[in-house]
Amino acid sequence: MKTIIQVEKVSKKFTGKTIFSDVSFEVYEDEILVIMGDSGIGKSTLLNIIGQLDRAYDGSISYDPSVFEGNQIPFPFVFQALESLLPWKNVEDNIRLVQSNLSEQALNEILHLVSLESHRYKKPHELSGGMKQRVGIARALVCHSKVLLMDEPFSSLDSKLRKRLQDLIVDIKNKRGLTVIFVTHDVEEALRIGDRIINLSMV
Amino acid sequence: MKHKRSLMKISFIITLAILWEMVAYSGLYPLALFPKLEMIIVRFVDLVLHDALFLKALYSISIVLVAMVFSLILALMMVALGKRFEYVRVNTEMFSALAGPIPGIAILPIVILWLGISQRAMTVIMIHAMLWPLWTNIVLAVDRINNQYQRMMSAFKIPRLRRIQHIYLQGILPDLIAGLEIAWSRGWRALLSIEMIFGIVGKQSGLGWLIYERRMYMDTAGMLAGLIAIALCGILFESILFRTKKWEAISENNHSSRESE
Repeated sequence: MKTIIQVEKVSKKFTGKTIFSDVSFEVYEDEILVIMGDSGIGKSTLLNIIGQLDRAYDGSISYDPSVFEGNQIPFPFVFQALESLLPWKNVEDNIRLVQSNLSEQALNEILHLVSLESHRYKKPHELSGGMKQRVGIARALVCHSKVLLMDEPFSSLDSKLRKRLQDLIVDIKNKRGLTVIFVTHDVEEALRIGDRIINLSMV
Repeated sequence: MKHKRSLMKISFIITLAILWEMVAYSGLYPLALFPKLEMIIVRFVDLVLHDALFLKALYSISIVLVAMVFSLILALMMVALGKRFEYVRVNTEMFSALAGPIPGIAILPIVILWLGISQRAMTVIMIHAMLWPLWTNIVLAVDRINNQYQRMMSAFKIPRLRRIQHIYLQGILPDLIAGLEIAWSRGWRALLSIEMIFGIVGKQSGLGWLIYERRMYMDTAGMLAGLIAIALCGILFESILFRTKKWEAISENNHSSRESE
């Protein structure tokens, strides 16, 4: 398996307090890597660091230059629903916000992929929780990144819906050859979608 | 439900009117001090027909609106500069905390000394009355948007201009309208107080001066008619803002999705 991201001895302190220290692992191409751990352990912080949204850390992260061009970092995120979509924009505009030169064909393809063709002009408040998350996934996919970062995206959804969206992620990953780094605190979710699981824990 | 609320309001106004008439007809107070309703209505019509009441009201409203536009531009500039320079943000916060509680009328003596009795002095006082609530509302809205969408904006590398156009300007709209509502009421009150003190500035006089002038003639009905005109202007502006809010609710700019999460 080809290593595309190498995380080496990464530590994070916040106002003098160590959040985590000496975290090392590799991220392989075309896998779903799940980062697990209890609430407050620093999973989202670690994801921010991998995505280069947070650059204040010790240690190093290397990205395979043969896979990533400079403009592919930071990677697109799929967030928790709460911070995800702009409520004053419809589905199409929320997607176009991150990719203004998106062609009509590409937009239709992405909407088809996440089964939202008929909801294109709806505002977030007219969508169910699952639909909102599918918009979030579509928005991340239009960036054509090789890596997708997902920060507890389904935590606010019921278990039936979660399973459907987990299947969707696995399906998209297989179809598009994506690498997904998925943060969750749910063991069942981790086991269901993860190719590998990293568990962050207190020492 | 809407009809029920309207009925409640109408019945309350009718009750007040009956009580007013009872006091007026009782003879407890002379009519010159406590006129009958019909006297006030006749005076109101008379002021409209012969004393350009509408023009005076329009003049007062136009002054508030001009000052409001200046205040809005200033507030937006201060927020933008505060976002760019920490120094500006810290000091604007401090200055807002110091100047915000000072009513417009309280700085009137010093402004008269510095600028004289002039339109410019009026505008300065009005801007002081309106700027701080506008700035506070806008800056809090921008902070909220930052907290909520900063990660998204960074992760998707949304360019600065697109952020301003699609996220900040649209996202602050509900708070901006709330700020305008507060600014309007503060500015309106400040203007009427100033008019009562300044009298006529320039070619035209406003509603504040009208009330003050009626007092000199012991025209209680005229003063009350002036007050009615002031209240009607307030209702008019509120209803315009209400329509804006309604439009804004329709366009889902009220962040309803946040609540539904």
